[in-house]
Amino acid sequence: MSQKVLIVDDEEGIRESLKLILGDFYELILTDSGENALEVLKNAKDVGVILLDIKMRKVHGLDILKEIKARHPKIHVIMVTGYKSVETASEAARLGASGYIVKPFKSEEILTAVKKAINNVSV
Amino acid sequence: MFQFNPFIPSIFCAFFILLSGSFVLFKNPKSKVTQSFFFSTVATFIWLSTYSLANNLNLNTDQQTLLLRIGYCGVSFISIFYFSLSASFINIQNLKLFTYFNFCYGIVIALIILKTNYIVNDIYYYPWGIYPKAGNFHPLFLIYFMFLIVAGLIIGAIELSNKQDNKKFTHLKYIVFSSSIYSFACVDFMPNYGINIYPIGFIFATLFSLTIFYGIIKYQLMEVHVIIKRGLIYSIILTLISIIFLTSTIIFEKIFQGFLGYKTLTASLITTILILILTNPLRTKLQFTIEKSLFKSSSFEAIEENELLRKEVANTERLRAIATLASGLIHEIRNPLTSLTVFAEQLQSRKNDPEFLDKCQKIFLKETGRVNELLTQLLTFAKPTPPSLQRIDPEQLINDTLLLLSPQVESQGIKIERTFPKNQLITADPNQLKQAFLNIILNALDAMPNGGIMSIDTNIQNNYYVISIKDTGLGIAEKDLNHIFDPFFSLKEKGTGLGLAITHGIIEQHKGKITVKSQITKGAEFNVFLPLA
Repeated sequence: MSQKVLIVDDEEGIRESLKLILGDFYELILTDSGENALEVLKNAKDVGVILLDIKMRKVHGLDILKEIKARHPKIHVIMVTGYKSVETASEAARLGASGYIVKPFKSEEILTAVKKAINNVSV
Repeated sequence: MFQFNPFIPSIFCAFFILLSGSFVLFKNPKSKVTQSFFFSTVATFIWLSTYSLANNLNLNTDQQTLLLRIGYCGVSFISIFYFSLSASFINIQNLKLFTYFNFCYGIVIALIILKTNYIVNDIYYYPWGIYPKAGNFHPLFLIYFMFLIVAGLIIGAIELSNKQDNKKFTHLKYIVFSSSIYSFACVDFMPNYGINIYPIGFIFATLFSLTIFYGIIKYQLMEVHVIIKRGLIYSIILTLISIIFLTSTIIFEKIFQGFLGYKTLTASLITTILILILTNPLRTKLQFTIEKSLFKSSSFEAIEENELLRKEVANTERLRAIATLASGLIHEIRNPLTSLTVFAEQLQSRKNDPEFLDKCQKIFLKETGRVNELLTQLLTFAKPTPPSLQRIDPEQLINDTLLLLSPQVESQGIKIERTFPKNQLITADPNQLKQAFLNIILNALDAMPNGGIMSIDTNIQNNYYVISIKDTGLGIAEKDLNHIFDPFFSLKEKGTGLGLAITHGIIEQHKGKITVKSQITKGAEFNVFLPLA
């Protein structure tokens, strides 16, 4: 079963960029908020990896991470942030994030991180 | 067997003085003032400790002479470091060369003291102990010693009469005062000339250190900040009183026994009770004095302290604001930067895909435009232009602002209610104020995507023209209310988070204030207070 990648970011530009990088290799679901992401996860059962923005306007990415991990512990969540701080990085790790990518990212970084996560899921 | 002599207490004082100098240096090691103070305490320590050792150790005459000579080197450096302390505190550049000259002089004098008999020659044997005898050139040495002490005091006193700055004045006052006390230690030169005077210089040296210490605790003398706790001070007092109590008990008991000639428990009991009665008021008195002199400050000091605290709080707030601004700015710029990077990366491999090229162009224009808009807003926020004030009709201004937004108001089906007092004019910059209201009203409209009521009421309260803008929208959560005016704090999908920060800045520039009340799902109310005068 192919693993879908869920992209959660409130910035259209970032969603489009991630779509451009991953679109040729994976089936993608794009959402603009954490709440929508949780909604998507209720219905879509084959999401293997989530790329989750940390600083979103409505609900903080780390709160969403907590929710996702509580409901779907097997899904790999890679946090994406524009502002890396030791506190958020360690908090993300503590909450079970599989990776931490800082913007502006390169295509290769995203591809490698998602590939790694998908492989882990398959194992 | 030790015999009581002035050099026994002086060794304790020597250690205390050295400790105080080391403490001050440890607290502020880079200051020239603390360095000079420290070295003057080292010189004092050498003087007091060697004299004490020469008197209290079982040594032969040669060894005693050597120790006294070393001690005298310490004495010669006291005036040099004292002068350098005054000079560095006042920070007179012209005295630098003179200070260096003095150090060289000190080294030469030390060599003369150690190797020849010109300054120290032989030993005097007094009933209270041994003491160095002045050599033929000692008067010259003494004159220069006194010259440095007096010069230090004079430059301090001159500076004291010129100082306007309160804090520096107090500090200088302490330095001059403590040094004046120390200068009394010069009585210790008398026994050098055969005058049988008990050398009590160590008492003045200790008082010097104690005064400096007091100055540090109360006035951050030498920029050394010490936080003292009441508990600690009272523990020290209690210990001191206990020591006084015990010593007095023992002494009085001995006196009683001497007079009465018998050893019974009654004598000890009577003395204990007597001393207990005597020390209790002493304790209260001491406690009161300490409380008054250390913890209670004059109204001027209280104002100064409050001002310092206020500045500290403002500084912390400013740093917090900068941190928020920086993290917000990084976030706002890195997002478009990421899109631009990714699209640029993909350009080479997808250059023949017209759909990609179309999207690429849109993204490039959108994201660069966004950064530009952000920078414009940031500039408005960071460098606000001073308001160009004129008499305006606020009612007209709000109506004009609403007119600008009428398409959005209509499309969202929002009803507007307004109440204005008649013909009230205020002094303000119409363009800036329009921008401020635009930001508030836009927020209100964005909070009511599915329609609602926006009421704009104005009234006059205590010399302020108050504009109240209420909506029936989504409301703001309590945790977000405190951050609503922070730059880059936004609850909106497409907000930069600068709108309300700019509004806040504009209202502040008009010497007014802005407040917000809200509850989640129950709408929000912004109140803008503008001075009438």
